[in-house]
Order: sequence, then structure tokens, then C-alpha cells
Amino acid sequence: MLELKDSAIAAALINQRRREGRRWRLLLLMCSVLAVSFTFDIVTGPSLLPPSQVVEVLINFLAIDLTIDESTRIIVMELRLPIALMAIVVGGALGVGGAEVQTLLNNPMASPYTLGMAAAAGFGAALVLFFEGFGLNPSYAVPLGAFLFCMLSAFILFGLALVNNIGQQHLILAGIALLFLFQSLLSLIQVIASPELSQQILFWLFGSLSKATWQNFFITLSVTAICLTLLMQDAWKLTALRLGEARARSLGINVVRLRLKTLIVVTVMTATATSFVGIIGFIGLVAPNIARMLIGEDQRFFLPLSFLCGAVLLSTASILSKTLVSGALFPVGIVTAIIGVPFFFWLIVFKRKRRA
Amino acid sequence: MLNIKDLTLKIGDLSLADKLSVQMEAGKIHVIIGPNGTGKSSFLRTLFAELTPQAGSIEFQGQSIQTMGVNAWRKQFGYMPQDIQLDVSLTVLEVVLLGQLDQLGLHITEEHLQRALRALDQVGLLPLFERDISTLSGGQCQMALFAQVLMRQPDILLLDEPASALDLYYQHKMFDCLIEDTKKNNRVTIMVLHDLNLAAQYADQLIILNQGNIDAAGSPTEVLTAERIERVYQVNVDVSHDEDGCPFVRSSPFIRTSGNKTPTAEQIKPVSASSKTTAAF
Repeated sequence: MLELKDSAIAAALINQRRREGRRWRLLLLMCSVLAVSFTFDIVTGPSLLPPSQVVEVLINFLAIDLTIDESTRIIVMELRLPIALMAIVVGGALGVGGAEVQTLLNNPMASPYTLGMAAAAGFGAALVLFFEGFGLNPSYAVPLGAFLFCMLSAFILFGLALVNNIGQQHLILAGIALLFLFQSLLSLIQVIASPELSQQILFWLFGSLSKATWQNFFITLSVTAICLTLLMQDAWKLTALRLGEARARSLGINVVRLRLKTLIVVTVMTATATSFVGIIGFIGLVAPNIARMLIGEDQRFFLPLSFLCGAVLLSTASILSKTLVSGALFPVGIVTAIIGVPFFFWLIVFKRKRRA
Repeated sequence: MLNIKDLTLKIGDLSLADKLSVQMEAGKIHVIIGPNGTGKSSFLRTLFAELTPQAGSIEFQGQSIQTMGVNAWRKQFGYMPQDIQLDVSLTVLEVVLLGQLDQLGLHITEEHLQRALRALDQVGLLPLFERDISTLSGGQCQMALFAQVLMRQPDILLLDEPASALDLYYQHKMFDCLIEDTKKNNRVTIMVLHDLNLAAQYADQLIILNQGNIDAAGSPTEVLTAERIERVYQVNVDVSHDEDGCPFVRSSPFIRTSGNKTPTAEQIKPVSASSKTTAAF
């Protein structure tokens, strides 16, 4: 009898290891999908480059010396590579941001957008544009304004998150209230601003990757990398948080501290990404939901997959924003929802119960 | 030995504990019963340092929350809250693994996996280990959470209505587990139950809470008298005893209105020892 039990446990153990293997393979698969979309993101543009040349330039960039056409090199290295890389990092940051906000609020319908972070960033950017950069160089001042206001609105949430008997529902309500507040303030600026300025503000609000440069890519990359590391350290605690705050506390987690820490990390990460590219909605909502359906909510896998899903979504959206109408470049923020929604519906209908 | 002295807890105007004093020995099962809203769950939460009492002391092996600090104090506990609503995409095994949260790294070791699988086997859920926890029935979910709390290997086990959704089979499984586990590991097991008969069967010490006061504490036979239950619950009851002297409680209206179709109160007395695993009413 004992042997029978042991063999059942041994079999279960092997099954569990297989499941982990499947999850690793899914992550790898997503990485290769990302590599493909990344390459095509560089290929597409006003002048279409052959994919083979793009790959050659990228390989050359990594180390090996190949003889490459100089104009191709410049187009790839100076113009398209920063944008394509920015799409990956920003998409990933938004995906992870959404995943953790959903975890924190115990609600798969939440995203940084729900907490008013995007609206606050938009207001910050508009305010800076309205006051003509407060005498600073607008290419720094606008992102800075967006970042500061995003953090400011989040500070109100931080304060609330520190109170022990404020539950997840109250945080969502507070976030939605902030969303409306900053949207109203933003509208106010748009109403009193000149039509040209109003246009400029509107353009910022439609998130666009064309503002990406090597410099702001590296800033976003470093901030995102640090934030991801911090979140991964709490992977198990965050997983436990989804069992409800009472149960998380019963497992010995200091819920108030975890909530505050995660909220700060997520805000810094989302604020940085948003301040450089503007408002890109939908990814923060949808990427984590796709990841959840594909791999479940063990954060060791859920977190990286949310990143990859967000990155693939934004990278694909970037390709489409250049190719939907040839010669025209749509702001990527508009395209994300258009491509994301059908895919998302497909997942909801067909993939619900089959997870890796 | 968990020693509670003059514990007073108020939330707003509501008095949930008024100078409660009770001692709970290790290796025994202590069951708290009492009417709804009388402070049973709050009592457990106070022990777990989630609620701060206005007065009184709680000591375990000579140490208190104040001397140990909240985190160290809580480490001694395995606490299973009442709510079993789980809407999360995790497998049963993953939920149980979370019981040993502080020891888990990015790679789950063979040892941790085995412990979790053994705990699942112990509660009879091993065949379901890969199922999504949200697809489980309420009772299965409760058993999974029970396995999770056992993984913590606590000195004190707090269970808030652990059997509320369990069928007869799982009730039996859970309480057998509890008796064995409590004795073997010399734990202080404290649980809130609503089913008086389940409480009577398994409690070493039965504590009736009423309006923030301990109405009685002692063996089930001492505590479960018709007079006391009628006073505390405001319901007419009929208390009989089986061959071992274990009390058995039924609310009287049930017997009176059952008419000719079911045996009368006289016919079912005494309850034989073989029918000790009485179903919940």
C-alpha cells in the first residue's frame, strides 16, 4: 500500500516536472515569435529592407564584421533599431505593469490605466506643453512632466495602500476617481489651449514609438530591468496574494508592505515607459490576461510571459502601424487595440481551460 | 500551552470579547462554538494578531506578541480563514505549495514538491493535483486549503469553519487527519465549528462563546446540555448520548414536525456507537 502511494506521488512529481518543461518551452516559443516580429518591425518602413540584410546588420552589431551597405546600416542602426527595441521594452513593461496591478487589486479587469496613471501622465505632459516646457528643452520637459504627474497621482494611492483596512475594492475606486480627475484637468487644458497646442497635446496622447531614441531606450531598459528583478524576487508572495489578502496574511506575508512595494515598482516602470512614448492603452489589460490563460498565475512564469505578450503585441502593432496604409504612419497606440481585440476574443472563446 | 487571560476586544461599540480567559493545551483539539456574530472568527483573528485587543494577554510557551514581535508570533501559526472563494488560475498543487511560502525559491526543489504531494495525498486530493483550483467544488477547495495549512507545520493551528462545505467523506478525512496530526506533532488545534455534533465528536475541549463571553468550557459532555444550548441559541433542543457518552444534539421542532415518516425521539434513543459519524444537519 505504501509503495503504491509512493509510486503515485512519484508519478505526480514527474507530471509536475513535465508541466514545468512545457511552460519553459512556451516561454521560448514566445521569445522566437518576438524575434520574428522584431525583425519585421525593422524591415518595414518607408523604404522596405530585405530581411536578410537586416539580420546581417544585427549580427554585425553583435560582434562579427560583415561587409554591409552603409545606408542600410544607418537606417537600421540609427532609425529603426531604437524604435523596434523600444516597442519590446515598453510593451513588456506595460504587460508586466498590468499583470501586477491585476494581482494587487485581485481583479483581472484592472490595469495601470484603471488606476489613473495614464491620465495623470497625459495631464502632466499637457501641462508642460501648455507652459511651453517651463523654459526647459521640451524633449526632456514633456516626459519629465508626464513622469512626475504619474508619480504624484500614484502617491495618493500609496497613501491609501498603507492603511491596513483599506481593501482592494477601495483602491480600485480611488484609482478610477483619480482617472476621472486627471481626465477632466486634461480636458480643461485642451479647452483653454490654442488649436495648435491642442493638436500637439492630442498627438502626445496617442502613444507613438517614433519618439524613441537610443538614449531614452536605455533609460527605459534600465528602469524596466531593475523593476522586473524586484518583482521576480516577490514572485511567490505575489502568487499568494491572489488567494486573497486574508489568506496571504495567514501565510505570513506583510500585505501592506508588499502592496506598497509592488505599487511603487509598477508605477515607476509604467510611468517611465509612458512618459517616453505617450499613452498606449489595452496592452496593460490584455497581455496579462493572455498570459494567464496560457500559463496560469504562478508568477515565476506569469510575470515573464506577461512581459513577452506585451512585447509581441506592441511590436506587432508597430509593424501594422507602418503597413496598414502604405506611406502613412499611424500612432501605435491606436493600432494596439485594433489588432489585440480579435486575438483576445479568440482566446476567450477557445483557449479558456487549456493551459500549459 | 496557549494561555489567554482577560482578553477584551471591541470593534466600535460591538463587544466581541469581554475579559475572556481560557487555557488551551497542546496535543488537543479545542473547538469554539456559539451563535453567529458572537465573535468566534474575531477571536481567532486576535490570536493571529490581526486584531489588537483592548486589554488582556495571550501567551504561548511563556512568550507573547509583544515579546516576540508580530512576524515571529505569526510564524508559529497555521491559520485557515473562513472564506474559501478562490478565483485564481493556479493548480491545486501550486496552492498547496504556497503553504511553505518562505522556503520556496525560483526553482521548486524535489523535497518541497514531495511534501506538497504527500499533504495532498493525506487529504485525499492527490488525483486532482493538476486541476485548476477554480474548477474544484467548495469542499475540495476547502480540503486543498487544509493541506496548505498543514504544510506550514505550525505549533498552533487555527481553523475557521474548516468543514463548512465538506461532505461526510471529507469531514471524516479532515478530522481523522486533524486528530492524528494534533497528537503526533503536539499542536494546539483551535477551530470554529457550527455543527454541534461534529464538535461533540471531535473536541477535547469545547468552548461556547456567547455575546463576547465564554458561557462554558470543558468536555463536550459537560458543555452540551439542553438547557445551555437552548439559552445560548434560543432554540429548543433535544440532547441524547451515545454508548460512549458523546452528546448528540437535535433541534426539537425537527423531531416534532417529522410526524410518522421518521422515527420519534424515543425510537432513536440511544444512538448506537456505530453511527458516530453523524451527518451535519
